[in-house]
Amino acid sequence: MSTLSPQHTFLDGDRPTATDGIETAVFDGEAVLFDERTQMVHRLSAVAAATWLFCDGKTPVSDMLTELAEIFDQQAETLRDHLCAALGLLADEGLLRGYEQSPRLTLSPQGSVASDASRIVVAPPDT
Amino acid sequence: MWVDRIVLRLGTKLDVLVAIAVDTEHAYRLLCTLLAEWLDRSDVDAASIETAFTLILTGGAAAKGPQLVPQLRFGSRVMARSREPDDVVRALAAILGGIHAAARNDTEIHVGLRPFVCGEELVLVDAERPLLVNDRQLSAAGIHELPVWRTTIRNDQTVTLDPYLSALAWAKTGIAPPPLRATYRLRGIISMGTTCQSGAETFAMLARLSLNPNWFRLLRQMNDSDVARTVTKRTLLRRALQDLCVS
Repeated sequence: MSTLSPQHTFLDGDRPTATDGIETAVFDGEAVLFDERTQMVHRLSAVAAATWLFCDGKTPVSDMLTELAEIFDQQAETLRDHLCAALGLLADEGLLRGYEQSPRLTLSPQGSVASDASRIVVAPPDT
Repeated sequence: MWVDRIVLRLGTKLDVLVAIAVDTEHAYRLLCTLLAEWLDRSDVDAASIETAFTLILTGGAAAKGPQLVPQLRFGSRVMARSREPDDVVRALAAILGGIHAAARNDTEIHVGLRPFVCGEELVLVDAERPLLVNDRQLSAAGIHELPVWRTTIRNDQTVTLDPYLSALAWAKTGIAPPPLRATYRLRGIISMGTTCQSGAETFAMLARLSLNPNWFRLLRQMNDSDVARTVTKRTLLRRALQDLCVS
């Protein structure tokens, strides 16, 4: 998941909803998501993973903060920035309903091509 | 070291070029005979095709140091190694068959992980070669790696392998043709990782190997069933293979 500053902000009363069609695998304190539409795999930190699981469209941001404080045994206000950052990043990745994925530049390897446009199988570089 | 090389034209649209370098005149003649149907006869400048594979068919005792064993390399990576040169040629035919088939678009799950089998049971391994290539201890346990370009996994967790490259002149070379490809049951997946690697990190790396959503679901299912393992040492990798393959 991107570590750039999120472009979206959330208010206490907002009830973020996960986008449909996202596969989730939960691990000890982390989660991995697969977005079939964008064909991207996202790895979430502990706070982002917990936040993601709260994005059911019913839980307001204020309640998420309370729940996170309980889970991580911290004062709620100390987690506010982490929660906002997690929600912002989820939104930026298009993982929350109503938020489009931020535009990005994707670089694809060119591959090796012969003069007649045939693809050339190339060995991987030495490791 | 390389005496000569050949260029093949593969793929259902015959639009994939593969160059193979060989270590002897004998190996060159053998490949020209075996792969005659697939030799590139187009106007493409062969010299512009970078060598992908190297085939070493001569083995023998070196005066000092490790003995040279017949082998197939993809760049510097050992894809197959055996004291029997014919095994290496059959491995080449298997891998070329995979490259040929991979040019076709379909909706199945294909991953480039290494398949280790014991009977009809198969475990996929994510570990850099030459780790466990032609491993004696695994062979003694009845486990061996299949030479492949990729594996195809169906939703019922059976694994199929691409057929060997077709129309090969085995009879003219005196090499016994390989047996037909079998279908295997997927028993698990093992990743070679580091001690500081989290389960999510390993999972994410594996998940990126195929963009088919069923692959993600299958990985999650294997993880939940405790048949997706991460190991940090060769010895642990062997043990995990035996545990998943044989038990």
